[in-house]
Amino acid sequence: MTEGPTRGDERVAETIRSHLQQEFLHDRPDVRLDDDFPLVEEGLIDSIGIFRLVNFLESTFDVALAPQDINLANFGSIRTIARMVNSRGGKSA
Amino acid sequence: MTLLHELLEQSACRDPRRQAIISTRGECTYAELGRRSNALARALRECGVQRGDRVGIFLPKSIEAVAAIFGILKSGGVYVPLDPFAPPPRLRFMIDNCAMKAIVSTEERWRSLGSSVPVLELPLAVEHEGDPSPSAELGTTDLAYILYTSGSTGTPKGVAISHRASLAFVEWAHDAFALTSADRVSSHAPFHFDLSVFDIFATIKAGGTIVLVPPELSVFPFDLAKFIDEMRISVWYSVPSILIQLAMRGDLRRFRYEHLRAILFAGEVFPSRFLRELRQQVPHAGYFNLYGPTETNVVTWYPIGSEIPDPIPIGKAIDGVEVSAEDGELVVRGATLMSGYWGESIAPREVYRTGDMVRQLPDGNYLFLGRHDNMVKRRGYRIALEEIEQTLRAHPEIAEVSVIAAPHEEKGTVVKAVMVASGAAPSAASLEHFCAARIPRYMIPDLFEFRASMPKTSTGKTDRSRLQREFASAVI
Repeated sequence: MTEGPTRGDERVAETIRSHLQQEFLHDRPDVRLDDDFPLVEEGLIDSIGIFRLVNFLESTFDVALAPQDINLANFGSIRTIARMVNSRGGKSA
Repeated sequence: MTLLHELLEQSACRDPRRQAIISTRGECTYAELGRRSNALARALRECGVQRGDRVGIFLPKSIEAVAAIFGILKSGGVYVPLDPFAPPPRLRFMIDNCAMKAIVSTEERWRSLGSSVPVLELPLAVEHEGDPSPSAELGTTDLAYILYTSGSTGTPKGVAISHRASLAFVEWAHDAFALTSADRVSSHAPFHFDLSVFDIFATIKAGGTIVLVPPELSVFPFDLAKFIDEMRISVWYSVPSILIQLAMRGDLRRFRYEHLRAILFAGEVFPSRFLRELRQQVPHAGYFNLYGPTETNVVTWYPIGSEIPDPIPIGKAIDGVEVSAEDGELVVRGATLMSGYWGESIAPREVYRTGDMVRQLPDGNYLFLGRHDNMVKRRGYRIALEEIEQTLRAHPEIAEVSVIAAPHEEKGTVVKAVMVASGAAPSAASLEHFCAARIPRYMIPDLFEFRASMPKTSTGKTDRSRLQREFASAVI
């Protein structure tokens, strides 16, 4: 299994980015949401936002996330979220 | 007679090499915390800070921020913790409102604020050794800190707390929870939130260790559960909402938590069902419900016995405080009370009417019933619904607005804005955007609804109670 970015990763990343822009970024016009932007450290995703995001990922990509999947290593950035979704066999809508 | 920063001096004298603070980025001994706060106090004096001057703290939760708290107190100043994630206009309001003399920050974070108040940048360029010259005639009724809370007039209000008021609570808490130098106490709440007063000052008084919980961990209960075990936390204090997340999604049974002896919570109602869930997973810890608005510090407490009552009472008065129900409203008298709101008269208060409606049970414990005004609690923050209304009223497309709230078991409180548009109704996303630029995230409504007209009472006012009833039945 390769660790590098795949085409699937990029498509998933794009979907997640536009969702985050819409849901979480209205108050941060200064932020350019690139793939490595630290979503949690920068306060973009908080304790309520995380479960909105998990719901979005599960319904959009048809994946099931276990409690242990919901951690900082997986949700640190768009890149890590996309990688996790793909590794769980996520299908782009 | 003691002042808050003298707690640090006393503990540093007893055991200078003990860990005062542990964070994921480093550790700090009592001697080191003493040295750092002295250096900062001196630097503040050189900036012209004098007794009673307000000094802001604009820092992420860190060892530096704790040193800043003690440094400001040692300089004779009043510390004002700012929420680094609050919208800039709100931060500028607070800076102007209490006429800050200086702000302690890091260069990078400071620039985003664009204010003209002098900044003391960390790390300090030059640190001279030795104590700061003692602050002249600082007394126990001098202010120690100002915490801003949501105000019903549409702007935040600065709750001004004296050394004496804070210490009255800190000393009680230190004894009630039998804190010792062996304790490792969580610091979960941000420093602009009054729960942090226990975490910092009660722990330092005991000569124990403050464990700074990285804010990002609150987002991940599964990771936070591990952190609490790994850091060998012995006393945990937070709002119930994070404990609910731990009970529901933390998978706590993975760990033994052998050091965890007390779990304290405050800030909102803890639904009994979730507390039961939590205690099944961590059965050996003691559980304590603490209650008190920012204006009074903690004034009542309820140690949970073998039975978990439903609802959980706020309990009985702490030592040195008297509480009573007057026309159903909880009224507090005692040494822990604030000196006033900044901008109004500042003097020790005898009595504070909380606005919280209560009932006394036959066993003497008080039961919280709700607010008598339009205040709600959300994630531990008290919010004036009027302040959200004022914010939305400033929107050019909104003619009328009424903001209501309903309790929700897991989410705590759900807030909804009901509006009449003056033209085309703006989208929910654009309204969120509009709010987010003006008020903190925890105040932004969950739901936005437009109607052709508002229901009115016979006197022509918006019928809030009808909106409230409709919403409450829809949420449940």
